Amino acid sequence: MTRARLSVRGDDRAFTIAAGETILQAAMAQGLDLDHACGGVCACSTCHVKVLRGGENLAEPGEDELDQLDEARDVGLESRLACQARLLRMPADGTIEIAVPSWNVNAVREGGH
Amino acid sequence: MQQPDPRAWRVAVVGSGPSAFYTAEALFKSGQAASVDLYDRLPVPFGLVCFGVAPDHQNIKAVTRVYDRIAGNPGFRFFGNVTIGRDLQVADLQACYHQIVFAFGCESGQPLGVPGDDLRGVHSATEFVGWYNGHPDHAQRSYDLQHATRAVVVGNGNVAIDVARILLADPDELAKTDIAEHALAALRESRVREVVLLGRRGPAQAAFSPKEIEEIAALPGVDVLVEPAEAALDPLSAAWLAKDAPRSAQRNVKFLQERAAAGPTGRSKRLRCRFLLAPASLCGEAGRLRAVRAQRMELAADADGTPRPKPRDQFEELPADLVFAAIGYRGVPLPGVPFEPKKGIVPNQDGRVLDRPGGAVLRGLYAAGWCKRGPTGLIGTNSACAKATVELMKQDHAAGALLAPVRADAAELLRARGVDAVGWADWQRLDAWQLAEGQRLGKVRHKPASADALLRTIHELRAARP
Repeated sequence: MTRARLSVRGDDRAFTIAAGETILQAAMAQGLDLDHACGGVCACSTCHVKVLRGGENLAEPGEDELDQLDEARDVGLESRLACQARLLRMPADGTIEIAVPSWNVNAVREGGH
Repeated sequence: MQQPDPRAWRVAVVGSGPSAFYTAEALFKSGQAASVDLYDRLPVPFGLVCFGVAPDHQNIKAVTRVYDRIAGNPGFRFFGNVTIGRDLQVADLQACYHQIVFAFGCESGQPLGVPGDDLRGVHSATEFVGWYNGHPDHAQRSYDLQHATRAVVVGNGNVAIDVARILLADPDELAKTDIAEHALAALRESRVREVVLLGRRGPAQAAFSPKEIEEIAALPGVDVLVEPAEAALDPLSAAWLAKDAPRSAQRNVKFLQERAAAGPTGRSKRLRCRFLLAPASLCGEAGRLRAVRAQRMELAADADGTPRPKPRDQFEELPADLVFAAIGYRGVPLPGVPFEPKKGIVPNQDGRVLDRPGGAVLRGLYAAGWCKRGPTGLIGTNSACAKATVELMKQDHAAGALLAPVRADAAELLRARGVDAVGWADWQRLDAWQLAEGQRLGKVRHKPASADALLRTIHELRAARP
């Protein structure tokens, strides 16, 4: 299966995501530095993203993810934890679009010494 | 060990647990060249991730992969086995760095503070957790598990659940984890069959995470029992649960009420969740614990409507061979650092350290994590907390409100004083060795449980490096 486009609002770069991958795995593998304080095991809500388009193609959130999201800031119906949101099938229009909450956006400057 | 860039923004962080690493991460992501040195009095990093998170929760301990990545930044250094207040004074750090962040957490447990809490058989959960995790401070402790059948764990948070689960778990399963060998040996001899979890408040106010309590119910051979009368909600809690309660509280109540309805299924071990009971005193015989005298509580709304426990004139005696107080951590003061004894934290204003509670800001000194806000939240909570502190550090850095370091490098000072500091490369070698030893022994990791043994291994690995 080919990869879907992973579009990040406010970021011009072209990211992709494969079926079976989480948004966090796809992001980190391609240099999109999403904060994930717990290491991506659904034990915090730092990797909170909003899925603006294509969310129905992601695995449904489980109880533990919903509990974590419940305590996150500025949560909406489209909120997911990037570490748990796994792509199940190719979206009809080939795109998953996400927005990263402003306080979690870190310009990728690591190693900028 | 590489030299720090003398032009860089130099920061010392006292501590190397989650809040210390998240502080380093936020500094590295600040957009300015920063060099960040983490200090720990133990020879190994990661604080409570190594010595607090339960050994059978390896998925949570895997957060160290995030910290490894942070440590890979060229501006990062680790100085383990360095005690601030002994090997280096805060004044020494002030002479070497532009800013200092205290991120040393809350190291001790809150005592029960009731008559009889000095009886044999009464323990702090904090110390017990350190003991089974191989913390060098607690390796020498002993717990009389082989003469105990019933333990009472006071508290309703995730630490209380950890203690209960370790006491009830199958030792053969624990053997595969990185549990300390001395703890595994004692747990194999344990005759504890029932753990009573004692909560002052009701099921709706339980602070543990739903998946933690559900995990105990999933242990083989363990029943989770709840008294139907205690599972029923008072009108105040019921109204709160229907309106403002977080999802986790709703899930806890649902689970506990289901357990109350189900009753015992005759399994050989039991977790008995008791609510609205607080220890009033501990009863002993010949200096040894015999029972917990618990006082019945009821919930009443305080001024802002929050349900608070109010004692009633009704008591119940719960036989117990062991008691573990799991009612919270408590900060320990660090020499040369202001301390707020009432809260057990470093007095601060949003992370800027104050000379005393409500006092003046001390230039260049900051706090992050538990010693800033008290011992609450999960590991990830410290990420937001550290970011907030680093925001202030950036503002002060931009404004030039910094310390004026006169020395180039603290590493030289440590060498001159003959301090046996452990660096990050030392830790990486030890880490690889611990994993390899673990594999040889059929477990995920082997942790020598004394500082001497750790240092000896570090020295051997350092001498043997290619």
